[in-house]
Amino acid sequence: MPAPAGTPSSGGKSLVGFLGFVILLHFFDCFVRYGTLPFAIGSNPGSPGLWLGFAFFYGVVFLIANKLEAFKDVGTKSLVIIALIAYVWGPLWSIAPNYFPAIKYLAAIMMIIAPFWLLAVVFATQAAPTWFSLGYTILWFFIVMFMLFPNIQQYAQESGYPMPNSLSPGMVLSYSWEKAQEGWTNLISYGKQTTSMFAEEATRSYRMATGDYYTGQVDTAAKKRLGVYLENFRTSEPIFYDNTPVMAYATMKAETIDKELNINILCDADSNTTASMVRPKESFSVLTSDQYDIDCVWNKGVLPKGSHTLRLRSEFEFTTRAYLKAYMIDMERLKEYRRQNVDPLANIPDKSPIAIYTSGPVRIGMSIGQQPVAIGASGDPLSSLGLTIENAWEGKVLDLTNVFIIIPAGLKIANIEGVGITESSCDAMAEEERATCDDTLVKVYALTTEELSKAIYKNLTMKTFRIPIDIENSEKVLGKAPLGVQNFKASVQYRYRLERTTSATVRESQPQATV
Amino acid sequence: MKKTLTLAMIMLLLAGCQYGLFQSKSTMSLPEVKVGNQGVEIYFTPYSPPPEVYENSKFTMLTTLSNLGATDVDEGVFSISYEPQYLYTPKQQGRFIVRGKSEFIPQGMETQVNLPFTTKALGPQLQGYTTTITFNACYPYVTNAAIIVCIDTDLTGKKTDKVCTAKAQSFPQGQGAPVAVATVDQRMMPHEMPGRVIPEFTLTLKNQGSGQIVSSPLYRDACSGRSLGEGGWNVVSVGAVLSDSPMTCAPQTVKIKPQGETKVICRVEEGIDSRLGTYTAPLSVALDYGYIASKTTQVKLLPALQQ
Repeated sequence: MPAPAGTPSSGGKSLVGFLGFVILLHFFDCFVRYGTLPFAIGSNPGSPGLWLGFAFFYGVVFLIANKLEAFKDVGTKSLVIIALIAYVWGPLWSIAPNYFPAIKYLAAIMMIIAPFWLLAVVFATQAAPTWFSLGYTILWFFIVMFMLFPNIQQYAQESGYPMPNSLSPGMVLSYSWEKAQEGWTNLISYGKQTTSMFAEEATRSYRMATGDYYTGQVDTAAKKRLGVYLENFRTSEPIFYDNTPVMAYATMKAETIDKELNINILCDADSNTTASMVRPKESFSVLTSDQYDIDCVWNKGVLPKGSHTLRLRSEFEFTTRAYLKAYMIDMERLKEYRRQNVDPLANIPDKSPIAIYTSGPVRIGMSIGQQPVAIGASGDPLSSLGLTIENAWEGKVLDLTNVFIIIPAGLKIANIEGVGITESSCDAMAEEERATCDDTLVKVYALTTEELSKAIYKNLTMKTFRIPIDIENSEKVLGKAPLGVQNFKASVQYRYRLERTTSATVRESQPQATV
Repeated sequence: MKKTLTLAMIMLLLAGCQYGLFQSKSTMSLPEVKVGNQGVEIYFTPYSPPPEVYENSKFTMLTTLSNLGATDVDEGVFSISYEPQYLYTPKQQGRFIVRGKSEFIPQGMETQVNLPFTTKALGPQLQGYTTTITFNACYPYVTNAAIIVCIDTDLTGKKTDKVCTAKAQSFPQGQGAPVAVATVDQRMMPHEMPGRVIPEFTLTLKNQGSGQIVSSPLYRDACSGRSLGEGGWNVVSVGAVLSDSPMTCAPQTVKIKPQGETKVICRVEEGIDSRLGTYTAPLSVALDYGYIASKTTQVKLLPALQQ
């Protein structure tokens, strides 16, 4: 005889035990796996081992569920789908706000109070004890009320609805419609950003797979975040009226070493209405490190009633440098080492150096092939130098203004088909770089002005060069020791644009109350 | 009281004499110097080079070359690998002399190489750079292995009460040099002349040091960037003498295998008189080669302090 609803039978007890186990696993998962990915995206290192471990735990949960009477009616296929969703549920909610910041509160709630197996028990089976389902539904109701009530109350006040506590259904609907519009504007904006991020990631992955991408690592010694940062771009009021100015503000941080950083600020709304005023000024010159609060003001009446996308842009010229250490060894000697199965870099701590680039909005990757680099006779070709210039931030590399490639003396760059590159000298480099450039130790090459004016360098996302290198004087490269240590360097100067958006709602002004 | 004092003084004197007697036995034995698997070892003095140095400044790299083997090095050479774009030293190559261990200097001698370095400017925006310096020491070395072997001319094995038994020997403790005779196996073979036998020894050679072997005449090139050619690496010349009889070793110049065993067979071609019976004799093996030792250190260059 089946147990009456609300009375835990032995099956009901095992379901409660199952729920207890699921909730415990969920909280353990919250602390350990949430916020990670099983693979690397950008700078996220990924944690495949962790994901594999939790696949096992969730697999156990699935096996238990499959044995439980309560899930008999659900069917194995649906149970498999539930199990898969339960496995990715929390991590997806923890990662989603990176791409859709607007859902961060919702995501937090979904992660913490809604383990997916619990939802499945409450909504997909008839077997959850009544007290449990009821309790859970009431909990959700209160959470939603707590979240929305202050906003609805504020809306009611601002909209002139009589207070207190008389929330009319019309007002709530009106509030919902406005929020939906605002949400749509945000969604479009984030959608564009996310599509662009995914497209960049896909391009990077494809190029890595095809060997057309060279990696680098940001200067780990860097204690300073170089470049310009725009933080917390937001409106000064939640709602504006058409008889008041619209104001949005952000914090701009700028840091530079060795060279003055000139920054231009531009604010507009809906990509066409330029702000009436930018405070404290529209252009800044930073010598070391500075922080400013930027206000964008649209005078009253400039922005019509409705929802608007406000945009803050900062443009600046910046230089990113990269260097790659290379161990050079006589080709014959290397062959001899290999025949004897001797590692010529046995004593060297960093056997496979990777390119290091300075902090900033552009990432530079470099590679010279397998280390140590075998140096043949003078006139022989060397393995090509791979160089990838890539936009590392969310902004745009508007154009490249100078690209210098510095290689050790004794080597030379051979002709690159279709790329305008010319031999230059240390004197042609920026003043701050001349002190570290010695024409007796290095050879400097630069991309020509004609080359840099090509369309491919405008709004640059990523560009990879394969630079063929020839040996000019092997003795100069190797020095007087068994192992020569040399450096390949790149210096890329560019104009960069950072952009932040936020949305603002302008309402029709309320008629003045008469006394 | 007087008696007690006299007795105490006598006991003290006796104790002193006894102590001296025991001591005289231990001071008679000379220290064993031909043990170990080391040659010239490289040591960097702590904080020289310092782990961190500012750009556009100077530092000194004080390197100690310590001869922990039993062969004197009279014409060693050294070379330095460093990044010329970040560092400069006026002395990229040089020579060194360092005596090995002997009965009188059982710990071996050491010599110091003082290398002044200048750091160059780091470059704009660079907030630190770790540079690599490698010190290479190349030197000629000789392994002198003195092994006591048992010569048993009784090929039939009929005689009894022999003074020793001929058997294979191993020498895990080395002979005071990086290349060692690891094992010696022996057999006696009949000579074509009646009444004579040929002692034959199979030597197993090994590089038990941490460096690399090169041909002795090419050791100077090993410290330069030049190629040594295929015949320049792992080459050891072998010579051996049994008592006063010169031996013929095949091969005379052997290429030491990086993995596995390298064997050389040495024999007294003219043979020895079988009437000599069974006796112990010194087998002296001399291995001649060049050796490269390298040691790397890293120095972090920091941007100069802002005024």
